[in-house]
Amino acid sequence: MHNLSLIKDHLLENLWCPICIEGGAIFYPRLRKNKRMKIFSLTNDSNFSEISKLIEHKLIEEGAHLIWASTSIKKLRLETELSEKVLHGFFQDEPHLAIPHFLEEDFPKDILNIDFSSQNLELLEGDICKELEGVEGLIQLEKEKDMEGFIIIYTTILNEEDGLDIEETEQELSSSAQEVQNIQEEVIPQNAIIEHKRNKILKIIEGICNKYDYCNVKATTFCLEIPNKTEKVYSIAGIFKKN
Amino acid sequence: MKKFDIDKLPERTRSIYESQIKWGEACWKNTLKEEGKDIEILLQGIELFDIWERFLKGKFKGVDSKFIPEIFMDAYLSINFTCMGLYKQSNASMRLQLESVLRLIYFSQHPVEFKWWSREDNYFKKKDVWADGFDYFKRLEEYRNFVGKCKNNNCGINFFTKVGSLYGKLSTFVHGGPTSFQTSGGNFSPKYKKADFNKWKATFIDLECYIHIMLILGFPDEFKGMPESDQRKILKSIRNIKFKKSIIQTLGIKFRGRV
Repeated sequence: MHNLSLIKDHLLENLWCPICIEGGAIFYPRLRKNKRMKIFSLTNDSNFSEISKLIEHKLIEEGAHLIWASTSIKKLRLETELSEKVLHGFFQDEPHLAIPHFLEEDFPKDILNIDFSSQNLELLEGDICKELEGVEGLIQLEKEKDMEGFIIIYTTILNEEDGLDIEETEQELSSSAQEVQNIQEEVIPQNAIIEHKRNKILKIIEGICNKYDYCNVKATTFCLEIPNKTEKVYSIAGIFKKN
Repeated sequence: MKKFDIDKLPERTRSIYESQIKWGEACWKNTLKEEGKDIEILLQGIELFDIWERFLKGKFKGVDSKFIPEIFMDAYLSINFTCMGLYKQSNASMRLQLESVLRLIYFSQHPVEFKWWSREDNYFKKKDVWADGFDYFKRLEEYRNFVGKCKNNNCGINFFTKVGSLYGKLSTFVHGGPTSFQTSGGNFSPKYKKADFNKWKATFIDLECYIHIMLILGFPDEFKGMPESDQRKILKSIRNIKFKKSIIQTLGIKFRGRV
């Protein structure tokens, strides 16, 4: 947990915050002092630094956000620390996620921080596919709410299994996927399977956004090793705007 | 917005605030020093309500969303009170938890009565949804089958007799029975007591076991619809092996290896 917390801090500093700053400048160019963006964030009760950091950078304001924790116990902990609305459950297992209408009243959001590495360390077979279905649900909701654009941060844990499902998910979710554009990728030597997954996931997210008429303005990815583990934390942060 | 300033508190208010903060922290530390491992296990156990919540969600016209958070919180607060040395309150909280579970099961099948009950707390008068001796549950097919399997597996005392006996035990804390007093030996302030903690822990484990049995029997289709990993987690909380065997037989589900 401690390792993941350090990784999260690194991602926040070097990937998530810079993209949010850039996104804020694109979506709210006239708001100079405070961008007042709204965030939906999958987070953890032991490290929810993205909220305080984004407030510090004057990208979001306190109290208007939607936080998601994996369990009731974590929800309670977050409720004592934050004044935000906190929902709970295994996000990827939510039965209504295909069209998450239970989130409707709290949407749209400017920033979707879908950080699965904060939710459950135990990666089960097919989890990434369920995660990506969840991502699609949220983007669909953004589209339904007529959102002009959003910042998406998707973070997951990659292992060397679960490869086939990703191929199927790519077909299911992003049949209209086009070639990825404007990608600036930090190149880190990786195992071949994980490398393959990284590219697929990026394409799938790009494809999902295209499916709902959002094109990417910028997307950056990081893949970081978890010390003493074979798994890696993979994070994509991108700015998407209506075509 | 008003700011909190301890120096502006009146004498008695400041006294209660300072003493409660102090003994709360001391009791927490003393309890966790001795019982930290057990508390972690019990907390893992109450996370099982998250599984129930996920599988009952939206299927029972708001009954599930009303009761499951309450059931979870009663268990959570029971642990909280115990860690503060408030054993009387922690036991009372367990009775509330049991009652909420019984109401969840009943109202999930009686949504109209749920509306009436929501409007008028005293709707059932002195009897409650489960009636005398849990009559309502005894009539349900799954419960009857379970009781039959228990007999075949020589479980001993009838399940509902056990639930009734536990309910009675918890009620003494609600009604202030002679064994429930929290002040003794001239001391008012609650303290960690090994014997009281152990009694509470045994009751808590029994209660969670009975609660999951009742939920499985109350929502057999939802339980069967869970992935095996979740089913196993829930069944693991049923520490009475004969009850566990009987419930697996009642549902007619099969598992590879030990559950």
